[in-house]
Amino acid sequence: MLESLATGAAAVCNPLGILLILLCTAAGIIFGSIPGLSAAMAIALFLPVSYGMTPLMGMTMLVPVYIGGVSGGLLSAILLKMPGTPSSVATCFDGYPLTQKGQGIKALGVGVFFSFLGTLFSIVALIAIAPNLATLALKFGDFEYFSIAVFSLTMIASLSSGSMVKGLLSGFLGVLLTTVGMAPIDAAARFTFGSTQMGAGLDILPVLIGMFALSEIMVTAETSAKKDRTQIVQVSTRGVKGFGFSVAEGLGQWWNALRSALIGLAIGILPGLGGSTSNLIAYTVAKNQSSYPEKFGTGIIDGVVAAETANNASVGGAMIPLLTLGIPGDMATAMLLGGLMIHGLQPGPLLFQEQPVLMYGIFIAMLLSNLVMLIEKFFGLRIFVSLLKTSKYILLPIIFVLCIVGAFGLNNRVFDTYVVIAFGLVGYIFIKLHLPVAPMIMGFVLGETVETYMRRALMNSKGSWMPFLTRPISGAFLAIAVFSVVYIIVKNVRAYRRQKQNNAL
Amino acid sequence: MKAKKLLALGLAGTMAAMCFAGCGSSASFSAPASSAGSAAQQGSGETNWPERGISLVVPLAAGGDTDYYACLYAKYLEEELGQTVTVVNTEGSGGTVGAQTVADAEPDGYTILFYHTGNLYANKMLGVSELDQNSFEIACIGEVDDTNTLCVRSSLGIDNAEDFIEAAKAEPDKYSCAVTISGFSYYTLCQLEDASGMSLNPVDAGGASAMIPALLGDQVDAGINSYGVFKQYVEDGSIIPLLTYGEERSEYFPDVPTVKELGYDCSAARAYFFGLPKGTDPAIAQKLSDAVEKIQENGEYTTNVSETYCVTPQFKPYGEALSYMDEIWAEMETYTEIMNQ
Repeated sequence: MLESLATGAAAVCNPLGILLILLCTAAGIIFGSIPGLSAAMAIALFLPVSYGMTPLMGMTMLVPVYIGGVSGGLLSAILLKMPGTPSSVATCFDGYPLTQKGQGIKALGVGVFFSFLGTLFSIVALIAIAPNLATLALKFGDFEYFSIAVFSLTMIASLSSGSMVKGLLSGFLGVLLTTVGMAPIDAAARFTFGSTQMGAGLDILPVLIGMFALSEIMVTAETSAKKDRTQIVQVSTRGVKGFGFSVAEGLGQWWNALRSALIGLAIGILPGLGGSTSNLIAYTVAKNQSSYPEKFGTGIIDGVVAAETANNASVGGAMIPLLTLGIPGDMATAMLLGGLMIHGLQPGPLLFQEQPVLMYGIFIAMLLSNLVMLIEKFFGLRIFVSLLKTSKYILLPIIFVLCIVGAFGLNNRVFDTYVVIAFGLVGYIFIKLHLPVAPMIMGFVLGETVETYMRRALMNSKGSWMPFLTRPISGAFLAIAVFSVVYIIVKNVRAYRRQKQNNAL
Repeated sequence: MKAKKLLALGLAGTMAAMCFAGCGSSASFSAPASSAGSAAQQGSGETNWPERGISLVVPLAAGGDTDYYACLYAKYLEEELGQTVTVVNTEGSGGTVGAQTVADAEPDGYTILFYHTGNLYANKMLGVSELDQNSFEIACIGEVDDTNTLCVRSSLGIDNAEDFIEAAKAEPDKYSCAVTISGFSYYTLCQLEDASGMSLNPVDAGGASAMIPALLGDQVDAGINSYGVFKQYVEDGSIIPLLTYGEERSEYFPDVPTVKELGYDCSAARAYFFGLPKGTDPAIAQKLSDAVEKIQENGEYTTNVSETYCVTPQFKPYGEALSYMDEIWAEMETYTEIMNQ
């Protein structure tokens, strides 16, 4: 293994390889940090350039774009409350409140450092035990996917801070929205109103940009129109050293980080789920397990650690089925697959034996890119923060344009830009009605998974529901789901009684 | 203060530049189409097309076989036509959204569809879309994939088609077969069931990327897809090919018998075509067809295709392509009722 890694390193560490890693990681970070432009899109742009290169150099270019892109999303999530990519939705929840408290640098430092750890963890898992993990992932069939998704949906309850009714409302709306378009499997048209464009359904990215970025722009525009001066978030960079958090604070997060990394890795390995789900789940688990859950959402580093460790751990996770089985889990890895196939290379069990230099070269490129990401962001921290000092009337219109362009670039259709605007309005109404957005995103991310896998599983079992309970992994997840719901109900009832007693006293 | 403004401007500029650079290659914003319009008016014979970049629309996700062929063609078409050819993935509704986009586009030759008859016709049979070969000016067929193969997982303990079909006949619906229910592979399964009298339990697997793990993880017993999808798992012994739908045995996997040899009258070819919006100047279609023909004669392209997907390159020129597609449609159409059950 070490020998193979050394050969891989020798193949990557030439001037071109190093230059590609430096530049492409930076490019990925920029794409990731801009709401509307995602890691997948960045890879799509760099893909044609890779055709002319050797397969290894092509991958040395694409993999850093992927790693930079996923981690870049935290910048706008923390500083602007707009997730740069679907993977950093949960980063907003505590990241932005930290910025509001004037601790933007600290939030960024924590995010960047734990992004690095999350990615590192998953790359090590990829190098060391990928084949074993891939075999484990194969045990997950339609029944298991369904049960995991159901379990994840119960997390909505924990994300509904404040009113459970509002949370459920928001969550169901998210699930409902996934039914727009052609139904999975039989392609029946639902809520399409006869439009071909609606037939394709709503994509996660435009919905997300609308709900988070556009609505935030509207709210800011509204408040600045009312007041003479926009409320300016002050971030002091003076006296802040290193990453802005102490060693003790970092060490205090070890269990949270490890757990989130495991969640991220596990979800990343399962094709079809990935980073956009793992950050939300890791965040909710961290909140549920915490001894001070009420502080989540008010600006504590625990939330940032959970979200950022998990989403980046999903990167290495997603590479596992890609490289060992040739199965892409999401848009981004599908593009990487394309990048290999154009050279006639089909990732899978045989490629490890036939092309060890390429495979281990990719691992080295990932490790280096992760390190470069840490360094580039470390030196960039103060520059990113100064973004906030830019007047909002300059910054927000630019972001608005980028959102629209990004939505168009996703599938090259104008329809998606209308979706952004429509969901911008929906998001604005959510804010006005104090409806939590997170449950809706969770419902939206998981709704189609639940439906598709349930229907597939029922085809497989010829209509019998029993395998959902009798298959061990599936049954276990359903049991946890039931437990999680009961637990939340009991907790809420107790809290209600206690409040009543307090009021009576 | 001034410094801050400068910084802001600088950042804005960089972001905007990134953005436009991005769109340039992913979507190719079109310049005014005046020259192309006049070319269309000339009617026949000579054409100056192409005078600017071309979008090759793939209505399916990046990373699949259609995308792969399109990317290869884009690479070589640039050399033949002397203009940039950008692959644009416009996904949705099993290809209908992207196909409709091209059908509605300006007939100037700068928006070209690259798609295959498998999904195009399956969508029409299922009533998902109205589009067919007559909705486009079909320039040529660049590839014909007739390598659809029925495979089983090796842990099933069956290694030849006769045994499997016998077993499936003896216990109808016992064995599950992964297909794409609203796609081409379901149609090929229906054909074989119809011809052989066996009955499998069809299970939707979405696409190739979900079919492999389902087979490897013992979630399903059998699956149908292009041979290239299974290739390396056949080589490592975890998946066993039983029969293939080609007219003759393939030179790339000569050990797999064809359906015809086994005595069943089935065939399943899907043609990958270049489609232009209706009303495009025939001279453009002809020129595109000629360019594709040249690429087919290029050994590099052939090697790439055969190594990756085990498909023998085939080509049908302008004119002939449409009648070939008519034939495929006539054959598929008869299964409309079975598909809709």
